Parts: sequence; C-alpha cells; structure tokens
Amino acid sequence: MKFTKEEVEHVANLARLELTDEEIKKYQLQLSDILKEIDKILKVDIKEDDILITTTKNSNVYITDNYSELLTKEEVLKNANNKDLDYIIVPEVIE
Amino acid sequence: MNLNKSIKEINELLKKKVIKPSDLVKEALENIKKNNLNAFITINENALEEAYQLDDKPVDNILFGIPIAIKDNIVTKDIKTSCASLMLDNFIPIYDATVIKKIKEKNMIIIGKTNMDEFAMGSSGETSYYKPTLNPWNENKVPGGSSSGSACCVSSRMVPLALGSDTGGSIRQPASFCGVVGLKPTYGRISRYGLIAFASSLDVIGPITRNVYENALLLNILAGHDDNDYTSSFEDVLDYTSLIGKDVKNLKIAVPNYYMSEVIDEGVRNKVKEVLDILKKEGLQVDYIDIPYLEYSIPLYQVIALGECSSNLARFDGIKYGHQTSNYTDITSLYKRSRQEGFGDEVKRRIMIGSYVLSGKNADIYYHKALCLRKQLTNSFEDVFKKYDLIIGPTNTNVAYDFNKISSDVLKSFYDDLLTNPVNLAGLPSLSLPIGFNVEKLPIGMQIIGNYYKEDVIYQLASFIEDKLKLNLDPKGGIKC
Amino acid sequence: MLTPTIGIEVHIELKSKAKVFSTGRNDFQSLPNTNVNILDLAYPGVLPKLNKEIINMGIKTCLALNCNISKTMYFDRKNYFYPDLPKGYQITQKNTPIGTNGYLEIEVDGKNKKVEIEELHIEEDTCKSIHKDKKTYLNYNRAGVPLIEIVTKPCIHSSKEAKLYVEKLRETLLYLGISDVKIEEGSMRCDANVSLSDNDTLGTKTEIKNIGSISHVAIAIEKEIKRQEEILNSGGKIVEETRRFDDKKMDTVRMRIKETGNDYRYFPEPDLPYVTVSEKEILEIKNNLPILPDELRVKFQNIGLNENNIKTIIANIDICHFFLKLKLDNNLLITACNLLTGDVLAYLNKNNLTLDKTKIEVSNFEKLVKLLVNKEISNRQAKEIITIMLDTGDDVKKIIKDKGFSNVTDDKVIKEIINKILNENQESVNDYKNGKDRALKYLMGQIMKETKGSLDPSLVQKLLLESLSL
Repeated sequence: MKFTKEEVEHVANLARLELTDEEIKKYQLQLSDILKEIDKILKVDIKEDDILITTTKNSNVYITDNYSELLTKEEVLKNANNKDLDYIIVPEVIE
Repeated sequence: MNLNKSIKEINELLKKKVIKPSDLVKEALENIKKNNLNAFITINENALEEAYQLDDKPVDNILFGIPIAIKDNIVTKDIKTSCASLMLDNFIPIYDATVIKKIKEKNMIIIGKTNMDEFAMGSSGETSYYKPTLNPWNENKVPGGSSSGSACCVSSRMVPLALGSDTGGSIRQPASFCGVVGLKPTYGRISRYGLIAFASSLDVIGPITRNVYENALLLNILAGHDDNDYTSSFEDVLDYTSLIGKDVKNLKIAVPNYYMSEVIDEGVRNKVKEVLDILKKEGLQVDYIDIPYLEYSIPLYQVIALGECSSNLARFDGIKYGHQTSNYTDITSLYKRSRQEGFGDEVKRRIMIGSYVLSGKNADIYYHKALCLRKQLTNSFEDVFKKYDLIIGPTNTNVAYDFNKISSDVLKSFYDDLLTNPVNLAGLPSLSLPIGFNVEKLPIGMQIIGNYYKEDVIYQLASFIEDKLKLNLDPKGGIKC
Repeated sequence: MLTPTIGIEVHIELKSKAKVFSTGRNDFQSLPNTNVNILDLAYPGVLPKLNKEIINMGIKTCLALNCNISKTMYFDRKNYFYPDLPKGYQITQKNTPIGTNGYLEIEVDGKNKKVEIEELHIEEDTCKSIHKDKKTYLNYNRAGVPLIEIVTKPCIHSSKEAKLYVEKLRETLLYLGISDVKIEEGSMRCDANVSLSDNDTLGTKTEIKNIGSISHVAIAIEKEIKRQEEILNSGGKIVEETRRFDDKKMDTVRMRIKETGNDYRYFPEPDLPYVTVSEKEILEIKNNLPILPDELRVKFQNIGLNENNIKTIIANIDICHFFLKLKLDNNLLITACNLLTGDVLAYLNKNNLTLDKTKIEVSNFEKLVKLLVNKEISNRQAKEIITIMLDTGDDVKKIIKDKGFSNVTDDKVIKEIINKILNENQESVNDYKNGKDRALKYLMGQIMKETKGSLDPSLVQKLLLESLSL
C-alpha cells in the first residue's frame, strides 16, 4: 500500500503533529516503505484466537483502597509551562 | 587510574582506605571531560559532593562508591532527564526510578545521564537531539543504539558501569558495536518504573559493563519485584554470579539457522563459528535448529512497538511538562506545534506508523494479527527451551557502520534489530558478549539467549567464553579487567 | 407510526478512598490539585496500578444488575488528545468488560419491564476543566477517579421508561453503597441515544449529553423525540450528531456533528496484567450484598407500611437505614415509619440535613415510639420530643421531664381538670345540652389549652362525654 497525502494528514492529525507540505511528501514515501515491511505479517497463516499482550506471568496484582503519595500542589505545577497558583492552564477548550 | 581496575580490586582498595569514593568520582569526571565522544547529555553536578559524603562511611557492599552512568530515559529526581529530545530538554523529574533508588541504596554514585537515540528510537545513536555519540573504537563509526552513550562510556573506560534500556536491541546492539557486555534481562526482571516508556510490553532496563562478572554484580542489585511495576516479576532473585566459573559441559546449545544465514556478514558469522567450535571442543551439545516465525520479527516488532509508542508518547503535549511551542492560537495548534517542534524525525515517523496500525479497521488487520503472531513466536522459543539451555547467534548482522546511513534508509534502524528484537517479543533474557574483532578492528558481538529468569545460566556460559577468548577490550589498549 | 428507541449510557463515579489506577485520593471536595498522585499527572516513566476495591464494586454492580461477570479481564487504552486526559489515553475495558447481558426491572404503568443492559465496564475519569477568561484551568483531582459505565441495549421506547430506568438505577446503586449517584454533582452522568423508526430497522440516532438532573432526562428525551418527529414528518433526515441539554432553553441543542468514526485506536493495556475473578470471590461478594430496593419493598409491604410511606422511606436512604435498625413489632414499626416520613423528614428537609448527620439514636427513638403507641405521650408531644432528640440526642425521658410533659393517663386526674373547666364554662355546658355540638369542641379546646395539649385527645373526649352525660 502507498500512503496518499490525505492518509499522511490523517495519521499526522491522529498523532497531533503539524506537517509542512514538504514533510507530507517525504512521509508519504517513508511511511509507505515501512508499511510495505509491515504488510508481511498479513501473509502469515496462523490461528487468530490466542493473543499475547505482554510476556509477564503476573495476574491479579492490586493495591488496597488507600490513598498515598500525594504530590504537593507545587510539585503538580512544577514542570508545567502555563500555570497560576492553583491550576495548569491551557487555551480555552470549547466543546 | 583506579577506575581501570576491576570492581573487586576497587572494592578492596576502598575497604583498605587506599582510595576514597571521591577519588573515583574525580577520575570519572576527568575521563568524561577528556573525551569528546559525546557520551553524556548531563553530568550530575552533585556527584563529587555525594562522593565526599561517602568517603567516611563504611564500605558495606561491593558496589559501594562506584560511579555509574545512567541512560537518559531513566528518570532521576532533580537531574534533567531528556530522552535525548527537545521535548524534555527542560524536564527535571520529581521522582527517582526504582533502579535509581536501588543504586542510591547501594551508595553508588550517579555520574551523569548518557546520550541515546531520541526516546530510544534508533540503533545508531544518531537520532539524539544532542548530536550523535561516537564509537570509541573508531570515531567515524556509530556506537550503536539506542543506548549509545551508556555503551560508549563503558567501552572507553570513563566509568565501569552503566544502565541502558532495550526494546528491540538497544542494549545489546551498542554493546556489540562498542565491545562491551550488555544484558537485556527477562521482561519484568528489573522494574520499569521510571523508565520513560517507548513500548511498554518490550522495554527492559539492563546493565552494560566491561565484563561478565561485573554485569552479574549489577543485575544482582537491580533485579526484583516492584510494587510500582505490575509487570515486574515475583520470581525469586538469584545471585547471578553464582554459576560463573561452574562447568559448562552439560549445557545444550541451540543455534537458529536463521541467525547464521547469508544476511549476516561473513566475518561476523565466522567469529561466532569459532566460538561454537570452542564449545563443541569443550563437549557441549551444539545443534542448528529452526525457530518458526522468526522471519516475521521485524514487521511484528514494528506493529507492536510502534503501536504502543504512539500511545505512550501521547502524554508529551507541552501542558504538564516538556516543550511547549510559543507559537499557538488554540489548543489544537498548541498540541500540534509543541509536538512538531519537540519531536525529531524518527520519533514522528514511528508515532505516525503506530497511529496508523491502530487506526480504525487496522486495529484488527494489523494489531490483532500481531498479538496472535507474537503468541506463536513466543511458543516457538518456549519449545526450543524444552530441549536446550541456551540459544546462540550473532548480536548483529554486521559491525559498527559509518554515520549517516540511517538518514537515507528509514528501514535501516529496524533491520539492525533483526537478530535482537525476537528476544524482546518473547520476553526472554539475552546477553551480548564481545567475541573478537573484524579486519578493521571493530568489535563483534555474540548473543546468548536464555530461558525466562535464567540469567545465571547465560552468565555461566558467557563467562566461560570470555575466559577462553581473553580479549583486550580497551579501545586505547589499556589493561584488561 | 414512528416509534422512538432509546439507549442510555450512565457513568457512575465510585465512592472509593483511592483512585482506580493510582494511589491518588478520591475526594471531589478537596482543594484544586491536592489529590494528585504522580500517576494522575501522567509523569514520564510512571506505570498504572489497580485498586482491588474497584473490581469488587464492579462485581457488586454486576450482581445488582444481573450481569454475567467476566472471569478473565484485561484493560484497554482508548487513545485521544484532550487537555483533561493527562496520559493521552484513558484506561478502560473495551474487549473484556466486567459485566455483560444484564437487566434492571422497572414498573411502567403497573407492568414490569426488563431494561436490558448491554455491558458494564470500569474506567477512569478525566481532569475537571474550568473555563473562564478564554482559558481552561485544569484540576487533576478528578483525573483517575474510578468510573463504572453502564450501557443499555436500545430497548427503551419512551421518555417515561427512560426516566424510570434512570431513577431505578440510581436507587439501586445508592443502596449498593458504591456511589453518591448525585447527578447534580456529577457523580452520576447520563447520556441518551435517541432514534425514531417506523419499522424494525433502527433510525439514525443522536446522542444527548449533559443532562443535569433526573427530571431533565425525561424532558430532554421528550424534546428530542419531538424534534426528530418534526424533521421526519416533514420529509427531512436526521443527522448523526451529539446534542446537549440546555437547561435554560429546556431543550436539546447541537454540540457537534459526529465525526466519521471516532478513531480511538483501542488496544490492550500492556502495563496491567490480567485480572481473574473466581466463583468463590463472586459468591462471597454476593453473600455480603446490601439489601436492595426491590427486596426492601417486599419487606416493607410485609410489615404493613402503606405504599406512600414505602416510596418515601426508600427514597430517603438515610431514613431507610435508620428504620432498618429498629427492633420493634410491626405495629410499632408502622408508627415509627409515620414519624420518620412525617416529622423527622420535615425536620431534615427544613434543616437541609440527612438523618445520619443528626444526634438521634436508634434505642432512644424506639423508646419514643413505644411511649407514643402506649399513649403515654400525645402526637404533639412526640413531635416536640423528636425535634429535641434530633438537635441534642437527649434521652426521651429526660426531655419529657425537662419539658414538664405531665404524661397524665390517670382518669381521675383528667376528670378533675374536666370538672374544673365545666364549672368555669357553665354556659357552654348548657349550649351542649341544648344540642349545640360546637360547644363540645369549645370545651375540648379549653381542656387542651389548660393542659398545654399534653393529654391524649381521644381519651379526653371520652371522659368529657361521660361527664356531660351525668
């Protein structure tokens, strides 16, 4: 499969990346190259009912219902770019 | 010149008060300053001060006072942790990774944060925002990646120990290119808490050292379950040095035909064969075998690793921490421009592919298929370990290559993982061991893959081989340790 | 004929101490950004945890809603960018929801109807956003608060059914003790999918969000049905869109046209291992399940409470819990219920309190009920005593003594008082004897006034009539 301009724009939007027209052209080719590789797994014939999400053998790992290790407000805000004394701030999000 | 000595010797000198931790730290800082290999992104400015604090303390363990370098995707409280990305160029963590806590508990000294491929995405060190690290054996060659700085600083003897991380080969590949020992432990053997995630189900932290014994020493203090990482194993922690020096005759070795195929450089293959001959001579059973589905590991890795990475890197939005564009008008442009500016080319490409394989129907076509294929591949490996103790093959298809090769070929960095990423997909432990040099005097690495939690057996064989080969692995030709 | 089909999605904020995937504090009343654990802030390198209590609450809810419970579960990531979503994904259950194929029974116009539940899953809440001065302020306290989402099948066919379902669901979850289920405070959130069709195929649906109270559920759906009817009847087409309920206009308004397939890129969460649930665990939870409204209704009917009182008492869980603690015979319980749903509820409403926030004690209240039933105190006195008990928690005997309530039941004493009044009101006595019934009422009033209402009126009337007939 070959990536169209629209498809690159679509995945760039999903990934929240702004791309220049030049970059879109570049990624059209590059992403197509990678996808060609990825498409190889489509050909392999296996039963498709047994999935493996992670190789950990763990199951049922839990915490009990107690809160702990709360950050101070200063810590919460420490690395934020845009903030006041109480909140992290972003441009208005309108539904 | 104390840091060139073995950890055991250093430990003796510390105990006898012949040297102090501060001497070691001064020496390490001096080494780093002298070198222009660009192995470090950040030097711990308090390292010397921390060492002075230790000078009068009793030497309570073998790693006491030893300087260690940390890959810059492992968070260190109050020390910048950048992932070699502009995105985190201004990021000062407010907590320590679990491995960092363990290192501090052992009174080791964090000397600095090492250079790497951006967000551990790459196999040459070249995707770093802070310019590439150079290979100590030949400065025109890449050191391998993504743990480029960690492999480089150990290889060039700036520090004896370093931590790397391995998602598809990021410890073993640079270890092999730089002629050092690098272990990718069993998935979950070492806590990932505080490792900035690339691909959650594949990532592991591991030790990079000058020799096998010291690698095991470092694993000893890093391994174990962590309540902060639910995927970390409850399996008992062993003394990973315990089998070193033990007879290896009864070990059964499997060599996948795929690992010795034409794709692999002939010089590399021959070196591995030489080692296999040594083992056969010693009386070990060595069989060539086939591992089904191995040939799909690259596309399989791409789907899983990039799918997960597209999600893991979504948190970098310029809001809570990290780079924020100054050029935005609304929330969408804040997101898109912060990420556009903050991430490099390789990262963007991988996030986009990852978004693609999870998008809409592709989640079924690609991702579900990959989860099923991963199950089959893992079964294949498990079958091998029903009959064999270890799997051996080259770490890489070739030795360290020239700079700027990856920029012209977007698949290069994935193909570099050809022999290493199957191990991540199956979650197995694997160690890269230097086994010699090619004609250009560039190191060649060999992989020893073990069954789950059998790092001790890997070390047993690796140490045996190391002992047989007696290579001088100091690029400047110093003493062997 | 156009038939409406409605599906309802309800989000419930669970009442746990900690959050679902972190050890952050779950308390919506705290100061902004003070309940935040490093995980809630999605710091680089952190990994999720799992609060066992949330799984248990999920199982409880499944049992209460007759769902099949998944024995093996994992979590999924739902990926999208929004400032209130710190990780850039929400941990939820897409592939293995904890509950499936349940139902909740409602009574519609005297007939029972099973509202089928498609699935029930556990997920995490987002940050709270405050919008002002063209900026959005993020409060991470709510980030990671446990939610259960309950999704019905498209099986509801009127706004009335929808409202009854939501009411019944709220009541059930309240009695389960897993949530405050306050729709006004956001601990219960309700979205409705509405479509109309004149055949077996479902029509194009719209989703209504932001419904701020239970009564608005019915209004919002009613208005949306009407809006769609008008469009369809005039030959128009319904656009698939998200609408919200505007409580000023009391109508639904467009929020956004549905994008062509929201691309959430779900995939299994690799950071959390599988969760398995055994039959034994489920049974243990089942055996400890609190008594739920349906069962309560039967229990109260058997006591002999009237339907109005049953409704009132179940609608007020604090009173209901108090009532359930009373150890009294059925006839006394009826009196107790009258007091609780009458004077006590009035007091609570007036003072904006719940019963558990007052000082009243079960045993003290039981004593009061007994005194009242034995006619040792009058209704009016009882009312006064209750108020004091609620205020101070004082013992009922002490209150009676302090207030000087004579608690006179001795006929002789009462007759003395009656005779005194009759002597003082000879004229009225004559009027009564001349057939003027009003005079009797007047005399009664005088006696009650003399005794400050402390006597049992029926007893007084009986004795008064005896005296007059002499």
